[in-house]
Amino acid sequence: MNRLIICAVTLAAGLSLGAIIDHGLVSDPRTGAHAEVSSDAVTAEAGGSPQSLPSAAGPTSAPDLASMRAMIREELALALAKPQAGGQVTPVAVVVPAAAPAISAEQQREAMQSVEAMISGGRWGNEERNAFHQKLALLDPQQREQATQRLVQAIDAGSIKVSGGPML
Amino acid sequence: MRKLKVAAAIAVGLMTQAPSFAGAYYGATVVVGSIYGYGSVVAARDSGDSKQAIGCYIGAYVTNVTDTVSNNYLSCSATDASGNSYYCYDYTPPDTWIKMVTAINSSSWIYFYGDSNHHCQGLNTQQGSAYL
Repeated sequence: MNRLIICAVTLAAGLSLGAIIDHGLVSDPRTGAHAEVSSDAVTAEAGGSPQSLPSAAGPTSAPDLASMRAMIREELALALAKPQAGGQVTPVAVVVPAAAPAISAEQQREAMQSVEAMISGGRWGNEERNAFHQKLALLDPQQREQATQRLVQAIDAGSIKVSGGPML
Repeated sequence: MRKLKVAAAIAVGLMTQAPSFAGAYYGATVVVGSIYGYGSVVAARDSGDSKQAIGCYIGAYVTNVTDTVSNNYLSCSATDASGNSYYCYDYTPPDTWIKMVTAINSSSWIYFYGDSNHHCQGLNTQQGSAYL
């Protein structure tokens, strides 16, 4: 692909250079810079300094920059559109990440109900703790905090008896 | 038969030998306040009562099996000799806390504190020979 682009750019540069030469650009001896010489400019300068006249006999009409640009664009487009050496255009693989399955409101409601049931059970051992954490994964941050605070209040009020392992 | 007796005598002798410790020991029993708890792991474990305990818990879970980043959960709890407890939790624990908790072992001393809603706000740990 890089080679293709380099070829296209080289081609475009060559075409541009050719067009520039064809349209008669001359070097301005006063500035050392290249200057376009148009018929108007020649006319204006004619009465002044004769050194400013173009040294090379060539067309004195203004180059058609718009058509030159169009030509370059066309050449580039053609070069880029051509299939690669193998004759096949390599398809670009577009990887679209699969959307993660969202947890439904129903699942979250059920998880909250399960947490409530666990808290109402009055016991808080490893089994309940693990189940609680499993349910937390289904809840959004706000629900998670709500469920945990519900548990915290139950522990602090003594309505739930913690046995073995960490409190939460 | 004689060999068996000798072997049994050696075994009994080894079992009845008391371990000998030397060096400083900071017997840090578990202390619990309204919003904090601290103590050493070994002191809690070796306490004469059956209530003292201190430790922290880390959980990491994903909501979907394809998730590559986990939701982490951290909690610490302490219970003193009288059965008083303080505990705190955090659903977005800083990485530093996670590292500190994973480094807790039998030579650790733990101090944590939080607010009245049991949200953790601070965690200090240290490991040292004097806590063993």
